[in-house]
Amino acid sequence: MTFNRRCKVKKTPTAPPTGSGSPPRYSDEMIPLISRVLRAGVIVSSLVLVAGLALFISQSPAIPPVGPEALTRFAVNGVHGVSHRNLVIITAGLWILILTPVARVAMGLWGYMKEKDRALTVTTSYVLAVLIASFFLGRS
Amino acid sequence: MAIINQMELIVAVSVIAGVIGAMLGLGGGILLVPIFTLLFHIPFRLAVGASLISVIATSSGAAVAYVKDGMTNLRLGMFLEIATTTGAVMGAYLAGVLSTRILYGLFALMLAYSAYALIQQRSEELPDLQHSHPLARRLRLASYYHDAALKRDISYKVGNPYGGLSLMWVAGILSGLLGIGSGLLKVMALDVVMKLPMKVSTATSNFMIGVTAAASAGVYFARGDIRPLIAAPTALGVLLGAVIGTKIMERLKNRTLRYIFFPVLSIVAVEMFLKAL
Repeated sequence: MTFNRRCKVKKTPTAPPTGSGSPPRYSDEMIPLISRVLRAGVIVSSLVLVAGLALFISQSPAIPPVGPEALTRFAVNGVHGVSHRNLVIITAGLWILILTPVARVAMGLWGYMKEKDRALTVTTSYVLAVLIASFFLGRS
Repeated sequence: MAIINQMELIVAVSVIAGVIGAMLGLGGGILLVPIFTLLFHIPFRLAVGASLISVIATSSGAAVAYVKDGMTNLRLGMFLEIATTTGAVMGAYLAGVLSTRILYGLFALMLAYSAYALIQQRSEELPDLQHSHPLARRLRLASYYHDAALKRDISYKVGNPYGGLSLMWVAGILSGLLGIGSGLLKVMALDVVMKLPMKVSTATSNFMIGVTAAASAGVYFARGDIRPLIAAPTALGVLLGAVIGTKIMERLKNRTLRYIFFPVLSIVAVEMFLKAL
């Protein structure tokens, strides 16, 4: 399991300073994992966005030569209701970016549940619920 | 091929916003929304939608380094995200209801405050808090970090969680309304209200910004306010700009830069305010 890769975090101190009486870090195990997921999310979404934009430009429909506000006519569901395949790729890239922090929260929740940390489990569950609800709240 | 020119313009502007944002320690959002609305005549809500995407990108990108360094207090971040995500969803919802003039007015105020914060001296002194608040103790929020400059581990306590939650809620609302990370308010909640060391405050704030913006972005996406051809070049541009800006910062003192940008931000604040009238 990924949680066993603790030996990789050499830079992070694993014990509190002696005699200070500060509590140990309960989420130490998640640090390398969270860091990796954030990095992967940013890199993958960037690649998908670049690919989607390149495809879109190469098959670019004619847009009158006006300012950048003309680009706003392209909604997620296409121009004037006509969907464009490459817009879907770009939208997927944007979703990967938006879901990266959500994945980070989900991983936190999993970690706190494993540690049987009730307070943080409740907290993190609430945050995850708000994030999921947000995707439905704008629709009304 | 007009579409390429339009997109090049957005990428170019976003790279510049990303560079300046990283160098000033402000996010790209506070610069992007004025450029998009005032110069490019992109509707306010669509500009905010694109800005939110770029805020998520830069926060996630920067968090990689901070989380590894052990500066980020993950538990505290997750706890305070209760308030920021709630506020963010409320703000994003309100943005769909409030008139754009009010949004311009609020943005002008936020810009003015950012300009003021630029020329303020930030105290890097370690706080002297003897005991953690009972709630913070129960949630085990106190922690420590390794201070490379002081060459030792620093233990710290966590005070006033309710005050922190309140200010975080406000930061969330403003983030959802205006498409900014609200990093200034988040740092203030951590540093001034909850008495955390500055370095921990900055790292933890950045860590929270991505989740806050994701909560707002969900609402903007569902409402159709995130337009792929605007948001994608913006996110890529700001991300690239932030990487360049961080590299430049490693070998540059930013004091002069802050004084150069104080009048720029002030003028933009006035321009945004005029749109509110």
